[in-house]
Amino acid sequence: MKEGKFMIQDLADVLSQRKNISAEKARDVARMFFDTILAGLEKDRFVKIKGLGTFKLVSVDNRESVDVNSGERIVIEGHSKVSFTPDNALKEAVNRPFAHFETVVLNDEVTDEQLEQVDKRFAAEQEQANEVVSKVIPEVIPEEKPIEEPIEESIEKPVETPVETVIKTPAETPAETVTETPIETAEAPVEKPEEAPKAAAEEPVIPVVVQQETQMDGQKVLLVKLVDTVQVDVNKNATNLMENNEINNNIKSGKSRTALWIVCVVMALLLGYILGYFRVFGSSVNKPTVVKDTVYIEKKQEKKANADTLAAVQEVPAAEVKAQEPAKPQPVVEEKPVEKKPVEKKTQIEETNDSGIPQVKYGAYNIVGTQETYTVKKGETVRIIAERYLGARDMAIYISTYNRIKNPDLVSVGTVLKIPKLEVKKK
Amino acid sequence: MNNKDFIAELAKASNLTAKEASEMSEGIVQILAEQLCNDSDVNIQSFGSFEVKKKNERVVVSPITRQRMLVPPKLTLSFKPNAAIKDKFK
Repeated sequence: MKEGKFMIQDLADVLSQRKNISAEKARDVARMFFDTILAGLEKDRFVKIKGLGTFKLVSVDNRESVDVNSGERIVIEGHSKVSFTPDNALKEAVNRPFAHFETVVLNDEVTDEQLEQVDKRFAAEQEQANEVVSKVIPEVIPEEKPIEEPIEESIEKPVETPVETVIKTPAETPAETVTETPIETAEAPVEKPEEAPKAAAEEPVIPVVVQQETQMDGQKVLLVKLVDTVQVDVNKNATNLMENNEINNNIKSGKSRTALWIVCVVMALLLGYILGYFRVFGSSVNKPTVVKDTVYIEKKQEKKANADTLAAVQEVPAAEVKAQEPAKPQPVVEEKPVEKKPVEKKTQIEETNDSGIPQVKYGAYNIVGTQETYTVKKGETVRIIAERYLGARDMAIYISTYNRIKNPDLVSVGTVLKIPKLEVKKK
Repeated sequence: MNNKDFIAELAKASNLTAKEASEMSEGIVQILAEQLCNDSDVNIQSFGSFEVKKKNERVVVSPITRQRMLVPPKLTLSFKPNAAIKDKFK
């Protein structure tokens, strides 16, 4: 290149010097060298030369092409052509100046210059990230703690209180009032507290919520007082018969029973609503410590009520669940993007150009306007119309895209279709 | 035709012993390689031309892992047969 072409004569000269042979002899040998390659190619269709590479005759099939000038279709007939694959050693020797390069895996949009800069940035970013993490962690932990604490307390307290009160009161009252065997009463209360803690574990937030409610709302305090008065009955209930509601009904007065029911259901609904509310906006956890005493009582009532409702009816949790469901906006929000997605996919196929005409994204043609309009007759599909106007059934996608038809096989009679005018896309 | 056959043919055609022919062949290949490595083309009349071409770096995508990879530039040796040779084997 730089020093001109290296011809066979130059080759022969160098060869004669190296091998101490005459220039003529060298020239002959050089010529014979290449002639022999050709002869070998003719004979075996391949020649392998150590240190240089492999010459091969490769057959090429017939293929169609287009005459560059006239645009006519022509056939290029099959033939053989000489291919050369350099020997590995020679290949590497030639590529030596670039041998130190290696294939690099790229991330998203990275250019060569960026790669070097990124290395430096990466180190800096790592340091920053470490700092940020160390800052964030102390911030997060105090936020979490208040959430954990009330839950723990709320779990502990209800567990303790019902066990104490419920077991005690039955132990006292049956001796006084009830004539039934102590074995039954003993069994029943034992079951009750077991259920009560369960309920407490399931709904640990409830006591906290009740506290807030009572503080904020006078009416609800009244409700709680109602429960207070009813509680005596509840205790009696617990002492008398726990397992059989029917017997309960017989013993208990109808008034207190119904009142209890109403209060329980109202409480459950309220709790369910508030629960849902606080799960959604759950960050605010107020801890009223001043009212603990009253709260304590309320919790007892709460547990009693829970125990009773659990034993008697399973409707209350169901009601709670129902009340929670509408209060959660999240699933509703999640559904919406799911609905949107298929629409987006369609728009990927049918993109619109500047003039607002929908286009077939991967088609070979652009829709440039309306050729004419056509009213669909009976027994016709978009594909049939496409064959008539655009030459092929596969072109139906242009009609359906242009007219924004979702199902090209289902067009109602009388639909007026715009037949698009097509133009080959330019590259 | 492998290297051994080629040496034999060359020896027969140029009245050399097989050993001499082998040496000559190696010598010629060595000279060619040197020239090509020194960035100069070799043009053999009635045979063809050897050229060193630079292939630019490029980005490829692995079909399996979908990773984008930057393939470095490289120098490759290419051989272009003479028009007469092309016709001869057509």
